[in-house]
Amino acid sequence: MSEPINANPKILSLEDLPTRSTASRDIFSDASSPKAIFPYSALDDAFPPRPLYEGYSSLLLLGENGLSGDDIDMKMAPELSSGESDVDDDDADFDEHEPIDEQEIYDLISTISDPEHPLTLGQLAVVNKPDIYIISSKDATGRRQKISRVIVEITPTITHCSLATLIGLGIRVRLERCLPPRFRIEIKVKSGTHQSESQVNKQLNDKERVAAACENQQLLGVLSGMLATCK
Amino acid sequence: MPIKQVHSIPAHVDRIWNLAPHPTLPLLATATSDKSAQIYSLNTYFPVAQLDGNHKRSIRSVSWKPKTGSNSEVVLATASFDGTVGIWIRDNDRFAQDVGSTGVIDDNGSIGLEEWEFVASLEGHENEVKCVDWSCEGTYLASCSRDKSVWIWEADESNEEFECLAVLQDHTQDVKHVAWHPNEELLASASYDDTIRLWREDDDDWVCSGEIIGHRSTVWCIDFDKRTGEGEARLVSCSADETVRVWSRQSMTGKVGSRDFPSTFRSDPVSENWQQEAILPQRHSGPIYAVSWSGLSGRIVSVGADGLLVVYHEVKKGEWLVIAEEEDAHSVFEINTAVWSKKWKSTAPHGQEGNAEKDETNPDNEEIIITGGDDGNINIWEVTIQK
Repeated sequence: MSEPINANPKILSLEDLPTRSTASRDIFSDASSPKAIFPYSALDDAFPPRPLYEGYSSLLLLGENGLSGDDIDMKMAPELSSGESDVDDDDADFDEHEPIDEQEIYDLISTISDPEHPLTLGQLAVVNKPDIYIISSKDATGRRQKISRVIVEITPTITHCSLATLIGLGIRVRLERCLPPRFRIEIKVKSGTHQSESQVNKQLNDKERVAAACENQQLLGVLSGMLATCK
Repeated sequence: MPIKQVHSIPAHVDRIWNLAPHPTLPLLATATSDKSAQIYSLNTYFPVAQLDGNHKRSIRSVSWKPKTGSNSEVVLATASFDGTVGIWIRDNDRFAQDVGSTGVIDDNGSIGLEEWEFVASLEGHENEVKCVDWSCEGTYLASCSRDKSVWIWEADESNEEFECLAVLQDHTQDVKHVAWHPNEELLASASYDDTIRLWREDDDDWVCSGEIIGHRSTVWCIDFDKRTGEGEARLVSCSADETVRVWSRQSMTGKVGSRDFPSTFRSDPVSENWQQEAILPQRHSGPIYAVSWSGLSGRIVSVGADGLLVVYHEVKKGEWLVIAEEEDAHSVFEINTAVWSKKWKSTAPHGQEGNAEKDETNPDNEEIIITGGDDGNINIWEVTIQK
């Protein structure tokens, strides 16, 4: 078992995570709900590190090989689950009365599990609602452009976190599966929070590398484990 | 906009990565993330063959071997994320004689698809192969990969045995694209390291003869000017930095005449000096994935993640104007590939074909643009500038 990269991260309490309204906050206070959403309890304890996937170290090598289609030995990688798309891949939302907003993006990705700790990206404050931007532009006639941008800036728990690429990839895959194709997704490391910021950003937004990484069954297995805690 | 969509083929369910029209036949090949390649007739826009079952991951790129001299075979190369290059040959006993038909009419009179044979798998790259391209005479095949290398292969007459002549490793990151000069044996490669490199043979060794620095992000695609005079070379490149740039060769040393001397005895090593000639008018927002330079009209087309299709015209050397622009050319989807092609199928309304007889002076009647996107569609476009 390898040492975790950040053995003692700062953890947010569930009550502090942003939700759509007080009504939904009430649901959180229901005794049964938090466990259903976050399947880990005893959030105030210091966590013993979860065993890492065997062969995980190949993913820890961030650098230029971080996102790759290489076969990685991950004997303990969980099975890839099926049917994870929450939203139909069509333009249905384009004319909807309630367009997709930052809270909805936050809800989609904050429940992704950290690859290293049994906590969600929301709890670890890797994903924060103020760092999610949806940019829709209008043309000269005031008509809304069909294509919108979603920008998510992630905050790694430590500035040399070599799992930043994997976390970013998990967020990108989650959003690509859930959002209609009119969204252009940009995943970035928040400025000043990672020592290899530009390299990580370039990889995460290279369409070809992301596509090739998503054909790697072992890597998909890890991603599937991270996404298994999503609602 | 002075551009119109004349046809759309719902070719694949998955993303189309790349499209290649045959240099001399009315055939179009597709490369897709469903691990297959398809061949379409450009006379009818119907499929004539399905090439599948051999690649284990997405096919990223396709390239036709030019038909020259005694070489009568129809040969396609496919580059795949599975790390291999596939070579496919049409079964000449069983292909549609009139390529305009929808396929082969067999002995029973029913229509089927052509038979293609998978004849070779080129192994050697460590991981995803991103692009393949045949040289102008079909002598060499170049491939490039995320493993940062460019390989040059030579085929035997049967197209079944390939010898690797060179493994070129000067790029410091993934090599995204390779393209051969239209009449010289000069290869260009574009990379995630933001540079373009040029390669040529020097005394039996392939060497890096030039480097083009200027783009500020990944260079996704390059294409040579096909109308330059002898000894001249220009190329266009597009990048994630949202620019399309034209470069021209200023000078070169160590070329014809000195080839018989071993390079160690020469004072002029093979090298070329390239300079930026123009940045084309900036229209795209987001990475630009493909450019194509028409051999007929000299126009350039570019497409990218923003779904925009832009056509540029060179008013005078080094000065370019946008003459056509189409937003959402593949609905809300990203566009991965665009290429000029000879127009094989008449688009004149029925009964008017006679009147619309070719006006040789107007390239609009002679060429089309073919684009492919994440929607799996092939769209066919005509520029309709009135002169």
